[in-house]
Amino acid sequence: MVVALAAWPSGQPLGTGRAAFKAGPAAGAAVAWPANGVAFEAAGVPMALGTFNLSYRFILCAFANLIFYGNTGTTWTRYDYAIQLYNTGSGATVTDLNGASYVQNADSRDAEGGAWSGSSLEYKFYCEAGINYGVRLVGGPGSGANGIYYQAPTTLNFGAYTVGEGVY
Amino acid sequence: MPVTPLAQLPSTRSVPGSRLQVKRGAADTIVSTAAPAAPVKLSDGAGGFLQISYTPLYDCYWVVRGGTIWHGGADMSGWQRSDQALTITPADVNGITLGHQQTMEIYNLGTVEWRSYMCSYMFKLAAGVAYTAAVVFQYSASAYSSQYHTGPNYARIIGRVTGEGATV
Repeated sequence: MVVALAAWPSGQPLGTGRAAFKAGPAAGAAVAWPANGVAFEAAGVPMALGTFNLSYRFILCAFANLIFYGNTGTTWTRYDYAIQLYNTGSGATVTDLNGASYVQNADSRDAEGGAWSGSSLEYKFYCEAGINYGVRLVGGPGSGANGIYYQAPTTLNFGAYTVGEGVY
Repeated sequence: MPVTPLAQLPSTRSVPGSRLQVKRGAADTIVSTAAPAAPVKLSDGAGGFLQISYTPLYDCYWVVRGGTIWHGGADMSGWQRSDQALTITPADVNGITLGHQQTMEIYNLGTVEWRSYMCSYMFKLAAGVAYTAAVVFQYSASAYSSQYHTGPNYARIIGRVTGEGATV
């Protein structure tokens, strides 16, 4: 559905995107890799963004960037993480109009003299009008054994923004 | 950031439209790096850099994503750290000049093949300021060399403007 410009309410801004962003804290810290479904944090604050609630259908673009380290052990290990779509009122994970509720990365790393490594994840959720949507960055089902991620402004970030308002 | 109703938008400017910038690598070359004293912009392989510029008409957010493929140099010993990063000049509204610094765990050239690394950041821009964002080589462990590819199918930086006058 396309909303004609002449039909757009004059008392509200054009639908050009709502945006939210969160990065790691100034005081950097190494933190244990979170368990499945447990949120990454920035100085104790969960990496979650929202609420996005628009009066028309829209696409919610979300992205995350982090660095991590498999700090002990001798075998290859999976470090999984995901961006979940959820309802900020109930806290429950929800599905978008395409049936997607999360997107996940699986990054395996060897601990053989390992080094910090980086990973990036992004997705576009198709959202219904009138719902309190949020996105949160959480650990995935891979074990993440002995893994750490680093909280700092330049090593952990999470962003979300809307596009396609009223077009789909 | 203030929200501007449609009726108050200046009639002499284009409406907010979520502008997009794309810069790809320009030629298939392989560039070797060493530990830099300061961040070095990635080459596009043809005399330019992996960078984009934008001067916003409205306060807004700028979602920037960039990177290329990397591997270690022949002098590497085991897994080593090498970092690429996203930078912006001048500093954004939050004082940020170094966005995300993505660590890359890479190995001796003869042992482990190319790896893809992309990362993203959301800068907050002020209207009327000319900004340039770039992909840079930021750090290398112990002066080990690394290599990146400048090919147009691998190297890129993409910018997308969002939240023009309307952010959550």
